Amino acid sequence: MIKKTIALIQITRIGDVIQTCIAADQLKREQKDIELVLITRKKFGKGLEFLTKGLFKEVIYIDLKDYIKSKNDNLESVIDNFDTSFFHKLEKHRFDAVINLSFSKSSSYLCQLIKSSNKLGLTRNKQGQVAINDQWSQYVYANVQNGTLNTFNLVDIFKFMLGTKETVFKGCSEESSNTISIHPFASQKKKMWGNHKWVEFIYKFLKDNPDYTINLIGAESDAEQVSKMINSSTLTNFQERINTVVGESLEFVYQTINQSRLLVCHDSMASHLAAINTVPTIVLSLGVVRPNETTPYSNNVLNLVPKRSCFPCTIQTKCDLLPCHKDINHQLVSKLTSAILNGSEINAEFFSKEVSPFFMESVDIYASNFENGFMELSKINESSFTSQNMMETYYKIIWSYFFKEIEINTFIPTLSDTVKKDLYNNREGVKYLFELINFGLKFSNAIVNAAADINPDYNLINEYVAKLGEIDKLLTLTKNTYPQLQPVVDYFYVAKANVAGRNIKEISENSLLLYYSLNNMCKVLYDLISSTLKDEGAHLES
Amino acid sequence: MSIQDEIHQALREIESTLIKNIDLNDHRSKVLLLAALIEEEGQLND
Repeated sequence: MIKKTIALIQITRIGDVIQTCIAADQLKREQKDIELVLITRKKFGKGLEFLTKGLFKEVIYIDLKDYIKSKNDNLESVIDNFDTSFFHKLEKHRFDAVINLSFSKSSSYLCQLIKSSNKLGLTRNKQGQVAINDQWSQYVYANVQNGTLNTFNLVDIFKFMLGTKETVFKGCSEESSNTISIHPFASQKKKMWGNHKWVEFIYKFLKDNPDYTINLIGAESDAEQVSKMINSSTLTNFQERINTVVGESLEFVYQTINQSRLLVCHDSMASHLAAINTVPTIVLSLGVVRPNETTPYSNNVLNLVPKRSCFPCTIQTKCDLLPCHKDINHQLVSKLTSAILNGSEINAEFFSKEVSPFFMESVDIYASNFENGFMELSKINESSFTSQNMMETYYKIIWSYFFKEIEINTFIPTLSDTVKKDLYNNREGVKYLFELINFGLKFSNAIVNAAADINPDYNLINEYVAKLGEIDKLLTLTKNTYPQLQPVVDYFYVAKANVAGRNIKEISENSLLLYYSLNNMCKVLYDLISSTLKDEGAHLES
Repeated sequence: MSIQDEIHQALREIESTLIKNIDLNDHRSKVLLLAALIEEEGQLND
């Protein structure tokens, strides 16, 4: 059997490489006639060879140190080194497809340079402009990178791009150890508790669970922080029960987590390592973390998420006080940890009976479910729904049907008057969008008709194109006035900029279809909001 | 001239060729890739 070869580009962080491995593993289970080649940065991929070996036919590393060897190198010698150390390895393969799972500038140029007739994900055209040919990558570019309303986990997005269908989980180790692992670090300060919070948690946990020990996991660069934690006066009597795993290989960390009963961590690569074998995990999401995207891909995870309007923030947002860090109480984390270890069912009843309402005021707790074939986070504590929650649900319904024709059922929660007001406001925004799109349809249709003429009137076509430009500006204004409508508007922009076609006729026809899609999305969004508001009389007329 | 200066100069040349509607060739794309990798190197942590 001649196997097809697919190149996967993943040149972002370790966590992303692990998530790529999870998606690639599923693809290999479903498609026996393919071979995968992974292209990744050496500093992120090398330590993960225990995962990539066997899964990929070859892993080709990018490492700037291999190309820029000294300060005296000139550009030509650097490019020569680049060719010898990297591109020659790529040229040994004949790729049937290249799939770029990173969305960075460098990955787009890399994707452009790899020879293949099928390319998915971010790439560049011959003019150096960004080109995105597939719907899922257009979705990522519009929603994951720009907004806060993405509802899909990154592993699922990778799986959708790769075309996998199933979700199979490996079981976690049955061996019962009385050890839990803690990885109290993340790539940014915003994403992680300070030392004192972790010390408080460790103290509380070890005090309440005298039979248990802790593995405290950190990279070599975390050694100083680990030392400060374990030498804290609060933990003086518990030091013998804390085992440090610092500066060890990722394989050792992986094994350590696998042998633990549970992992408590932030959004970091450790959480994704735990997901491979579904080790029970409690994730504390803080700062810029977007739980829908980055929750470890496992059916055995709880994600604690601050209830705060500024959460999640962005990397650019300046925040000195880090208020969301105080939203998750260490006693709550300890309570949940002990409950999981004792086999308690964690549901609304548990929270009402076992947890002080003071701890629950500022946090929501989500568990993962895969009922619709992809990961969804369900709130398991009793808590009111925000307009953000509701809009996420609507978008999940819309995108699932638009991209995958999956129909999702969801319940309509009881909403506060403030949320209803927000939704009503959003519905007004959808009305404006709908009207604008109808104008767009009119002019787009006129372009299709004009382009179909034997002697097209290009001046007339230009006039129509200018009208569409004006509509785009008004769409941006509408998006800025109603920020929760950003996903549909931005998706439309990205899809329109990448509309397929070999000539003006094909481009205008495909563009028209896109206007129809947006028109339908607006109708569905309007109806969903109306159904929620129980305003049955309201519907859009096309 | 340092490697950084050489890359900057090469990027300016590429920009001017693109303005003239001259397509990217592999060499120019490699320079763009190299520049992007260097730019991102400092931004990516574990």
